Amino acid sequence: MNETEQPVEVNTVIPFGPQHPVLPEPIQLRFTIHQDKVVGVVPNIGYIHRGIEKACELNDYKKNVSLCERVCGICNFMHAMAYCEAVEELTDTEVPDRAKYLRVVWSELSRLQSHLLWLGLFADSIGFESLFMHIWRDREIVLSLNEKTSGHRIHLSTCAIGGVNKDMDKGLISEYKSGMELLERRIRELAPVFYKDRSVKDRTVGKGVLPKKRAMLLGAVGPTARGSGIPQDMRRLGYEAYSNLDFEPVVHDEGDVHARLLVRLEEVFQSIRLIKECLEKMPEGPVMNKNRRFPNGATVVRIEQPRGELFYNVMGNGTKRLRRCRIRTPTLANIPALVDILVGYDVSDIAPIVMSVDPCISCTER
Amino acid sequence: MTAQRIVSDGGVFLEKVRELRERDARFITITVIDCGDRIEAVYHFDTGSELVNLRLEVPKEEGLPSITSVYSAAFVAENEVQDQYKIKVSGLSLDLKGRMLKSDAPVLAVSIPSALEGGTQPTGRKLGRCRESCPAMVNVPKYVRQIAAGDIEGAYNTILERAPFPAILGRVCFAACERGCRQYRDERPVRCRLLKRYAADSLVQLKQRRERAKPTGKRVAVVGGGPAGLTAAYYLGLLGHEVTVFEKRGVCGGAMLAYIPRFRLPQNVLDAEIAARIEEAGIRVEAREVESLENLFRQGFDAVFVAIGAQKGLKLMIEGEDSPGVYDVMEILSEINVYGRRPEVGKIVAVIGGGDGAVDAARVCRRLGAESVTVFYRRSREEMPASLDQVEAAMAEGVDFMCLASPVRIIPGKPLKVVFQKMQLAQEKDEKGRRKPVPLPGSEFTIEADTVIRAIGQRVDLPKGFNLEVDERGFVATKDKAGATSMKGVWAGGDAVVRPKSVIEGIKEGRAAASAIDKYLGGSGIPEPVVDESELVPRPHDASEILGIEPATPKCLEPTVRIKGFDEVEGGFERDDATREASRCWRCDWNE
Repeated sequence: MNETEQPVEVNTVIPFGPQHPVLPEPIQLRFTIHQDKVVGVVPNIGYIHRGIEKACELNDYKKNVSLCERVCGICNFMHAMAYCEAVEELTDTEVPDRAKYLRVVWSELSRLQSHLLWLGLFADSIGFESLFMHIWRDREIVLSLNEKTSGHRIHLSTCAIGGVNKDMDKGLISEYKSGMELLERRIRELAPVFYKDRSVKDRTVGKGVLPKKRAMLLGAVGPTARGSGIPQDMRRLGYEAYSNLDFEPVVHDEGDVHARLLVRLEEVFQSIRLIKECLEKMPEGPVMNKNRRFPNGATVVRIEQPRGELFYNVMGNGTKRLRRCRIRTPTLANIPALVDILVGYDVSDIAPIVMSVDPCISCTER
Repeated sequence: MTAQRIVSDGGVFLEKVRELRERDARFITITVIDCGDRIEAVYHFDTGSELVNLRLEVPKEEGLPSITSVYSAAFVAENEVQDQYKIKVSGLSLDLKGRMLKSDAPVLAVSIPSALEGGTQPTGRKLGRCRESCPAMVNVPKYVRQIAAGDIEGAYNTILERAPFPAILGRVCFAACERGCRQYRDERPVRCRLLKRYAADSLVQLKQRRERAKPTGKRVAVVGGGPAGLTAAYYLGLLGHEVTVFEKRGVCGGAMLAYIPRFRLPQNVLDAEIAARIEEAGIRVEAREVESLENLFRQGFDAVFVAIGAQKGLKLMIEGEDSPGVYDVMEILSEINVYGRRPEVGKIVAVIGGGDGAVDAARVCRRLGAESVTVFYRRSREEMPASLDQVEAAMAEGVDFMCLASPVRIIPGKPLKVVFQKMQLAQEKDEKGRRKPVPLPGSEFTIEADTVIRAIGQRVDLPKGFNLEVDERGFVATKDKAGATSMKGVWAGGDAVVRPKSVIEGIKEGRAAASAIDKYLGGSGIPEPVVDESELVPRPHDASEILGIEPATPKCLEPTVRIKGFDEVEGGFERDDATREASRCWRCDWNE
């Protein structure tokens, strides 16, 4: 650098969102930019806060199932399931075995469609439109299977306190099996693109690196944590039928955007395998036990959502209304990590890095 | 769920948190429970093998200590706690200052800019909503401020700049300014109309010292001494022209004199204010009927303003309309107002129509001793053009309203029999956007009445010799907003143009015509209102202060007392009430 070329000392502030083409959800990130490098980020959320935690205290505890379901569109089944698990524990309600397996099937289907949605959106954020279209075409398989059991493509509403309110007959189970096989075949065809394609690797390898130590300190969860080499997976707690299923968390050590991408891609295959295993092992029997008590006491439920650990802290006081229902969604836990990994990268990398933690603002704004 | 319990000791608590960090625990979140005066916060950590909960109890006012110095990721949860429970978390590394949950953003705090005592130079001035909604664009914010500061004379003169009859308007105006007020949607607008009345009523002498411009030597004739005519005469007189008002009654006032009942506008108020204006502007009043406009020009007038009003009542166009006992609303009202007679109306009166005239006639009839007065209107209440205040006052005085009824014929006799037909509103709308009434077949009914008063509208009774172009309904045709007519040098305004209107609209037209006439005679006209940047705001307040002030309500006569005579119904403000009411103004003209 010669003497005439002085470094520019002026910082620019760029607001990203609350409306942005890459992420059509209301979160604002205020970037301080120095010579095209991000030097500071201030997150700004809360645009659509809905007060669901408070509403849970005002409602009948049974009605809260559908309320919790609406915390998030994508992982609606898991929200209902976490809430039901908490209430079942507080009311000593035993869930029938068949219902436990069905719950796993539906949660893994939710994970499948969420990951496929994300893989498509991510391809879109790096400008890979044809990949985006392919992935979303395959996601339709999952959505139409959802429709066949519950009547809805996204909002299943099949979870209830004491079990599930829909059952699958033999015909449906075989349809599920063949659907899973078709999906696996299709994704296997597309998978090499994510592993090897230059246009994907150029945008992802070495971007937004989150070292393992830092990820633990910032409380990262889900694929964000597993992409940094932390074998953290709430399914290993063995809730529902997961204790009877055989699986290991998918872990990649690099901690960059590409690692998080591969974690999600491999979890797609893992989910397909888990669903098939469940459908094999599922016992016959009832799917619902009646519960006749009001919740009393306090309990914490943690389950693994597509985006990471979902935390429900439900407190009852022996009446039909709850004392407190605290919901901590995975995106909320990943915001500190998101803010951290953006610093030091180019403005053009912002979109894929933001997408790599899969922010779900609907969850965040409970 | 088990938790280690720590009561109100931030130091011990932070030590425990640090220990957890040593063990590589992951921070999950905080659950806060509101226990009245204190709060209970449970901090959740994951050590990889187990869930660790730390429970901290602190008084609400003390707030929570921040753990962001140990776990920086806690800023999300702590900011949320701060917003949800309105408590302080001290030592936050990234404090969003209560702006994380935007649904909680304070609304009122930003509405009114606070300023220092003693007033500051305002920024971003506007005309003000009240002023923009007033037909005559009276500087409402200014006079309201002057009343708040105790400058009554200043307030009166502020009104005079745009409208010459504050005392009259303070009683009869339909107060568009109040509907324009920002506080109208909270049903507590600043009562600008009554403040106007207060300013006029508390002056010792209505006549103000006004500088008349140098005489121009031009002569202007104003035909008709109603609100529009007098307004034009007043402003033209102030501009230095020699103005003569031709009023066939000999007493000025026009519709204000003849058709507004004395219980709304007392005679002495009307007379005093008109006399003051006539004196200020040096207006000459001639008690003479004008037959031809050419004659006026021949007599040496340079310009003419025609404001003859609309005195011909519309007919119902039904059988038996000319029977004895059927009156026009104009007849009854001017009988009482102008000639001071008390006509006999009998016990049962039916008024046909839905305008202010109909309601006034009904209220007058109650005072004349009628026991049952019913107003029949062919549309529904929503379409009724009469102002809501007047309808409510009439109902309090025992006037009945019957909507969706239209007369079919009148059978002469003693008492009269009136056959009505029920109506229903059709879906299609007329040119004014009102739904058209259509007869409901087979729904005729008959009522008996001693007197029937029709009040369905007025038309102009234009003398033959005027030679002015008229529109299809007989009103004087005008070419522009100022009211220029087909004849050179002749302007028209008030009820004689387009339709009968309110006093303030007449004033607006009189003023516009005065400005145009002045320009025609070589002057520069009356300047349009502009934002006065030089005016200082006497004492700005903040929102909470204004919202705390109770709106003042004037005293009104009890309905049972009212109907015994023609005393004024509505009372004015006392000094304290007026000052208080005026200080409720939000000053949105200052900076909205």
